[in-house]
Amino acid sequence: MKRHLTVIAAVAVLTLVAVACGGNEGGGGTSPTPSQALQKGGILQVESDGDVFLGFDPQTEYYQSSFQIFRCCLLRTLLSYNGLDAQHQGTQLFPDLATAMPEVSEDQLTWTFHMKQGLYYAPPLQDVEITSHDIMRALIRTATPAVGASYGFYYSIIEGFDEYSAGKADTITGLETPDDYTLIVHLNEPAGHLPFMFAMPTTAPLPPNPDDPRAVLGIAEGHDTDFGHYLVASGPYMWEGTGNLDFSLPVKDQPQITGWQPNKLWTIVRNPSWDPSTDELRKAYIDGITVAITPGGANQVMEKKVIANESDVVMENGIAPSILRQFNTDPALKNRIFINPGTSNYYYTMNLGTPPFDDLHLRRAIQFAIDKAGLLRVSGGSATGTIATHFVNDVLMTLSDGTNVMEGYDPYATPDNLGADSPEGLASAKAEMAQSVYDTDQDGICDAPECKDVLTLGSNDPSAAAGHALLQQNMEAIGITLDLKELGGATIYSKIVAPANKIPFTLSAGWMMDWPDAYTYMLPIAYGPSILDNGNSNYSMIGATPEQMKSYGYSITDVPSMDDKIDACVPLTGDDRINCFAEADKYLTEDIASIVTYVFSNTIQIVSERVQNFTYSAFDQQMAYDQIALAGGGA
Amino acid sequence: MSQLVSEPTTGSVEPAGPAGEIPQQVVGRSPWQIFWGRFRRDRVAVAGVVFIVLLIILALAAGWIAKHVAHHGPNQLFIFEMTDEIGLPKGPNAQFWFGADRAGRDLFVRVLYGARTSLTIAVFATGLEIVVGVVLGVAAGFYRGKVDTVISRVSDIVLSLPVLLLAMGLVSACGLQRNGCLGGLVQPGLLLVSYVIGLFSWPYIARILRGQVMSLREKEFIEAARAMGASNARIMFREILPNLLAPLIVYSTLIIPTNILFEASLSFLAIGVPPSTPSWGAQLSEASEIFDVAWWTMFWPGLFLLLTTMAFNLVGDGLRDAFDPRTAAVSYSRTREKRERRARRRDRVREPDQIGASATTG
Repeated sequence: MKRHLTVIAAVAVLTLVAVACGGNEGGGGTSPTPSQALQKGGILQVESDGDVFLGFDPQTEYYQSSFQIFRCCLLRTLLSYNGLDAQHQGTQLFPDLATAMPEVSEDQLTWTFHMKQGLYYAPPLQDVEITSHDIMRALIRTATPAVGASYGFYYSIIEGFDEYSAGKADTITGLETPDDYTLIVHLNEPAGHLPFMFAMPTTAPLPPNPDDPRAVLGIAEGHDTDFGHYLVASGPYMWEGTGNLDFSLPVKDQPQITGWQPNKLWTIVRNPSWDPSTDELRKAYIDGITVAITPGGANQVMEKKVIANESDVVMENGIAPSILRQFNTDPALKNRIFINPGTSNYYYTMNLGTPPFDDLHLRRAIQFAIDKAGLLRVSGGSATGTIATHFVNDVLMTLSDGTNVMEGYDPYATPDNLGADSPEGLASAKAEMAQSVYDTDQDGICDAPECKDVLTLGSNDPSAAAGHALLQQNMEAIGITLDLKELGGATIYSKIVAPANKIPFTLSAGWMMDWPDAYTYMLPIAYGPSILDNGNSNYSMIGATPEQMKSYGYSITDVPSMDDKIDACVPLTGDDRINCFAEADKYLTEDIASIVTYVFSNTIQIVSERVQNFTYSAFDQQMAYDQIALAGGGA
Repeated sequence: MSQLVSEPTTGSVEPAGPAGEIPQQVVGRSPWQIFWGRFRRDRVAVAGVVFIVLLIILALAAGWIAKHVAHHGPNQLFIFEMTDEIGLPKGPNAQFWFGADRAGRDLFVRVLYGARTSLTIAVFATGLEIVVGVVLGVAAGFYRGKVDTVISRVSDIVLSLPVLLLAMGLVSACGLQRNGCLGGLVQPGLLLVSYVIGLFSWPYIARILRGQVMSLREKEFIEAARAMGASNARIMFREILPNLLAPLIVYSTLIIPTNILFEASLSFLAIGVPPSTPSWGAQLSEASEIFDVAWWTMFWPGLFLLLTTMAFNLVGDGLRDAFDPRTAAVSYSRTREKRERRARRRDRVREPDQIGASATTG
C-alpha cells in the first residue's frame, strides 16, 4: 500500500533506542501474558492526528490504520491473519470465514473456498447470514469503476473481472457460487498469491439489502462514494449506532452510522452477532475502542497523554525525539515501548525518461554516493530501522526455514555505509560516473548541463530538511546539483503520480506491502503495465513502452523493463516464489538501479500502563486491538 | 540687530562680546542638521543603527567568518560529530558557538547567512514596495478624481487578498516548472519572495502618501510653481516628492521589520526561500519539533530575528521623532525638554542689562 508522505514525516520523526528487534527481547514483538491473567472489558482510548483518507470504504481504504480497524474488529474475510508478529506466524494466512485453506486445481487456475455456516451480520442485519454471494458482491463492487477501488488491479487475474469493469458483462464470469457456502474462483493465469487476495478488506462480505434483494451492490447500492457511513460489520466489533441503519429508506434518506464522526471521534463497540466459537483468530478482550482525532495535532502532545496514562496508545507509528529520550532515561517506561521491524522501505526514485537519469552508470554512481548511515542518523538513528541495500523489505525475503535470502547482499557497499562521505565510497561513485556519457572528461564528476539544477521534489516537513541537505552534499560530490522543491505531501503526490509531469527525482517515496509478498512491491512500482496516467506508483517508468513514453511527451522513449522477471514469479508459491522475487530484486538493484532504497523502517509504539499482552500485528503493523487486554478489565 | 537666517536654536549663537557689542549674526541650522541633532540624542535609536550596521557587516563578512573564524561552511554537514545516536543535534561548544542544527550544520554560520537573506528582503521587497507605492500614491493624491478612485479601489482589493494563500499558490505554481512563470520572469527563489512581499504591501505606503500629497498640493508653493508654468510631472517630482522624503524614510524603516517577518513566516511554512538558502524563518521551522530538547536551535535564530526587527523599529521611531518632535512620546519629550533647557541655560544670550553687569565683573 502507499506509504504516504504524512506517514513518512511521522516516521522521520522516529528516534531510537538501541534495540531494533523482532523477537521478545527488550521491548520488541509481543509481551505475552498468561491468558488467565487477561480479563475482558474496558474501552481502549486511542489518539490520532488525522482521520482516514478514503472514507472507511472497504473497497477504497488503502492505509495501515484502516486495515487494522477492518482486520481486528469490523470485517472478517475468507482468510485472515492472527494479529501476531512474524515470529508467531503473523505473516501466514489462516481460515477466517472459510473452513479451511482453499483447494487449488492442478493447473492452478481454479481455487475453491468453503465457508463456515451460521454466521450473521451485525445489527440491523442480525438475521442475514453471511454467504458466498456476499463475497461475490464485494468483488463486483471492487470491479465497479464508479467506486474507484484502490487495489482492484490485483483482481484482474480473475476471469471476467476486467470485462465486468469495462461494462462488457453483467457479472464476473470467473466467480461461481454453486451454493451459499461455496465460492469458486477461475483465473486467467496461475497466481500463487491468490489466497492473500482473499484476506484483503475489499473481499470482505458485502451484505444484500433485505428490502431490495435485486440491488446488485446490496446495502452499498447508491453509496458509491460514501459507503463507509453505512458499513455493517461481520467482525467482533461494529460502529456504535449501526443498529439504527435503515436500508428500507431511499438512499438519500438513510441515516448514517453515528459511531464515526469524521475528524472528531470513532466509537467502536462489540458486535452482538459475533460468535467467538467460530473465530480462532481474534481474542477480543476489550469491550470497545474510542479514537479521538486532533486534526494536525502534534505527536508530542498525544504521546505525552499516553505517558500520563490519559490515553492508551497513539494510532500513528513513531514518536517524537523528546519523547523517545524520555523512554531512554526513565526506567519505569521501559516496558511500555515496543519496537518491531516493519515492512516499509523509503527510497529515492529517478525517472528513467528524464536526463541525466537515462544513463545506467550515472544511476549507479548515485547508488554509491548516498550516505545511508547519515540518512538513518538524521531520521532518528538505528531504532528507526535498518539500512536497506535492495528494494523489497528483508521481512518478505525470509524463507520458511528463517533464512534471509538477501543476507549480506550489498552491491553498492561503502565503508560504514557512508557513501560519498567516505573516501572509498566517493572513489567508487566517481569510477561509475566516469563511465557515464554525462561525464565528458571522465574525471568522475558530472559536467554536462543535464546534471545541473535537476528538478527534485521532497517533503517540506521540518524533519526532512536534514536528509535533503545530506543528499545534496552527496550529489554535489559527483557533480550533480539539485533544484530542490520542498512541498506539502498532497502537492507532491499530485505531481508525481502523473507521468506526464516528467518529474526527474522524487525523494519522499516509501512503500509498504499490501500483503506479505514481494509481489506487492514489484507489481505497482516496477511493472510496465501498472503505469497509470494518474495515480501511478511506478515513478521510474520501468517497463514503459515507447508508445507510452511518447504519449506522455518524453523525448527518451527507450527505458529498461523487468516485466518478464516479475511475470516468472507470479505462478510460484512458498520458497520458490521468494527466491524468484529475490532475483528480480537483484536485477532491479543492479541492472536498472533507478531506485535508491536507504532504509527498512521499524515501527515504534508506546502504550499506557494498563495495556496488557501488547501484540504487534505484522500484517497491518499496528498494535493488535483484537489481542490486547486492559488491566483489571479496564477498571 | 542680528539677522536670523533660519530657525534660531541653542548652541550656535555667538556668545556675548565685550560690553556694548551686540552679536552681528546668528547662524541657524539646516533642517537636516536639526534632524540629526535630535536623532543623535535618541540613544535607543542610535543603538538600533549601530546594531543594523554591525549586522550588515556580519552579513557581508559571513563568508569570510565561515572560512577563517568558524572553519565551517553554511551547508557543511557534521552529522556524526554534532548529532547524537538518536539524531538530535548537540549544543554549543568551542567549535560550534551556537551549537548545531538537525543536519549537524554550524548554527552560528547559518544564522549569519540568514542575516543576508533578511537584509536582502529588507532592501528588495521594501524597495519594490516603495517604488510602486510612491508612484501610485502620488498619482492618486495629485490627480484625484478617476485616477484616485481606480488606484484606491485597486489598493483596497490588494489589501483584502489572502496573502499567505496566494503566496502558497504562486510558489507551488511557479516553483515547479523549470523556467518558472511568465517565461522565466517569475523564478522561484529569494527574488520571487521579494516580489510577493513587495507587490502585496505597496498599498500601505500608497495610502499614506496619497493623504500627504492631497494636503501638499493645496499649498501656496505648488500654486506658485503652477503659475510659473511648471508641468504636472515637474510639480510632482521637484516640488512634492522632496517634501515626502521624511515620511518616506520613516515608513520605510518601519516597514522593513514587517517584511523581514513576512519572509520569515513564508520560509517557516516552506514557501519562502529555497531550502539551501539559510533563513531565520526556515531555521525556526526546523527547530519547532525539537526545541524542547535542543533549545539553541530556536534560541539563536529567534534572538537575531527579534533584535533585527526591534532595531529597525527603534530606528524608525527615532527617525519619526527627529523629523517631527510633536509625535514624540510624552515622557520622552519631557526628558528631551529638560535636556534642551539645560543646553539653553548653558548657551543663553544675556539680556542687554546684564551685559554690562557681566562685563564689570572681574
